[in-house]
Amino acid sequence: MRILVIEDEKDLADAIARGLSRQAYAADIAYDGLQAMELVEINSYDLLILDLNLPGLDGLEVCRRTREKDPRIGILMLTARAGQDDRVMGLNLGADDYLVKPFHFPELIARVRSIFRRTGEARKVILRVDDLVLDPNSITVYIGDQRIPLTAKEFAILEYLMVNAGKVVSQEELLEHVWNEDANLFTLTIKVHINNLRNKLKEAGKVDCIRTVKGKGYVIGA
Amino acid sequence: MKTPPFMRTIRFRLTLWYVSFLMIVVIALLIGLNIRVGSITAIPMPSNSASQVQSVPQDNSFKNEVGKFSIMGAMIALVVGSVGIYLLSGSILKPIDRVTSLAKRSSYSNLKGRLHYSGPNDEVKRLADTFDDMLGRLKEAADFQKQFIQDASHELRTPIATALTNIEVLEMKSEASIEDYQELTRILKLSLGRMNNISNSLQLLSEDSDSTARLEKVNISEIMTDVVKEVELEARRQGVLINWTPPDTDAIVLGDDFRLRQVIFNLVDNALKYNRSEGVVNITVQFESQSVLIQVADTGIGIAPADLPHIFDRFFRVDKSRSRQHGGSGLGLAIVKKVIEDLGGTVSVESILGQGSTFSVWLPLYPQI
Repeated sequence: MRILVIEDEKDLADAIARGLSRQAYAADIAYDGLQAMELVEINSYDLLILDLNLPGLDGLEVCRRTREKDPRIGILMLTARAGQDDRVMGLNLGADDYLVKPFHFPELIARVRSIFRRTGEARKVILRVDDLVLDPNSITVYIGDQRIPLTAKEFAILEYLMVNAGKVVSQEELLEHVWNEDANLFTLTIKVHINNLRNKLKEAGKVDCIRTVKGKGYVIGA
Repeated sequence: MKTPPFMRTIRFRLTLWYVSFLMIVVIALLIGLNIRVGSITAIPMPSNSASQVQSVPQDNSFKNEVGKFSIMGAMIALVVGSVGIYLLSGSILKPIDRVTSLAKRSSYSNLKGRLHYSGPNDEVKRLADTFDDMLGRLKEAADFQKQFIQDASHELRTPIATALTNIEVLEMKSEASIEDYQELTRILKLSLGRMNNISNSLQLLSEDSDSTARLEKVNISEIMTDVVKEVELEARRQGVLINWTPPDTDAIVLGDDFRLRQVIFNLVDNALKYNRSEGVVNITVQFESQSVLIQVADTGIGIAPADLPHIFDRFFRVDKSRSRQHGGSGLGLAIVKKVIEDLGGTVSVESILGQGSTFSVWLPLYPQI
């Protein structure tokens, strides 16, 4: 899942992005509204974490324009105002949820997950394909009772495939949703990660769980 | 024994007074009338002796009639008079009851009520109007204070959020390195510094007479030279040239040295912050009869005409994040205005968008003997 953090307070934005990547999310940062709109145009984000008080372009305007462009992107507003006017306006303009600063980071993560449950294909807290179980809350994957140790990237790939279970996911799509702007990689890197993932699943007795569809991409389940 | 509530009203007292007064007048009238009637009937009629004999019982009944009618009249006058005064005083005093009930309902969080009294322009109307005016002024003050508190808490939330998020994100990392903690310390120090800055500024702005509490003779030129030295390094880093030549005569004013340093620092610091690179800051100190004129002019981004009237308002920022990146709180110019005005001076600004701003401060000179 790929998230854009839009916050002009640099130290706060960096910390949020760092925390998100520790939760196996791919996070980019925009320090002002205009930069945010540019990034939204170029990349495919699953969620925006949007501060309302922004230079360049107001957070509410970013919210409105993003909604016009893509109604599926989740939007979590951050506001420092305790008053309700901003929040009501933001929600009316299409934001999915809001958090008042200062917030607890675990709550931010919980709200991010809750938005993903609402906007994504899967509405379940815990994702399952046969006996393969993925828990986004604890970032763990099980086959039956056996826990599969995965790296953050492998986890993110598997999560994205499982959220879109039954659908073919192209390599480009994986690149868009699992890696952030800083990543400078070739599709070969994806192949390496997919291979490692397959090997780990195979060791646990799950063969051919992730299937390759020639010329199209990867699919899990169904 | 406690007097019942209706007896503890002006209306009751007024009615009581009026009725008592009416009774005294009526009794006096009755006594007068009786004496008069008595003296008329007592006069002998010399013309006819026969009729004189007969008129005695007639005179008595006439006297009774007059007595009966005058007592009845007096009773009616008393009743009508007391009811009348009761109703009249009620209608006159009613607005006062409304004032009481509105005053009871009004509180810090509810100052919306007004009397809107529409009677003749008398004492009561003047009272009601003054009361409405007072509520209006109180509401303005309360609104201002609420906005101030909201802005202040808003301003404090951002550094708190930055500090808290950085701590919690580091806590999530299972093996944090010494570098991680060093970075956290740097951020915490910055955030705390900003909170300290904001709370100091808030304290100064909320105090009524602090900036005049410690008056001493202060040389403005000397402070200016110190401040320019202080920001020189930052100016060089930004490639901004500061032009400052102290005048030949000392510019002595009466003020608080610490506060005046803060004021001059804020002005020079702003001129740097909002300048362009390769820009210039021109600082002059001139004498104008009894006062000194300090001018700080920059060649920076300038201020839009719509923003100019608000530039000295608390928490006002032209560009919200620009000053925040510099650690500003939106209180610097509000402090300048407060300190200067407390010292009997004035401050003003002229600006052309895209070309720069000039801040002018007039302060009364300390009389040279």
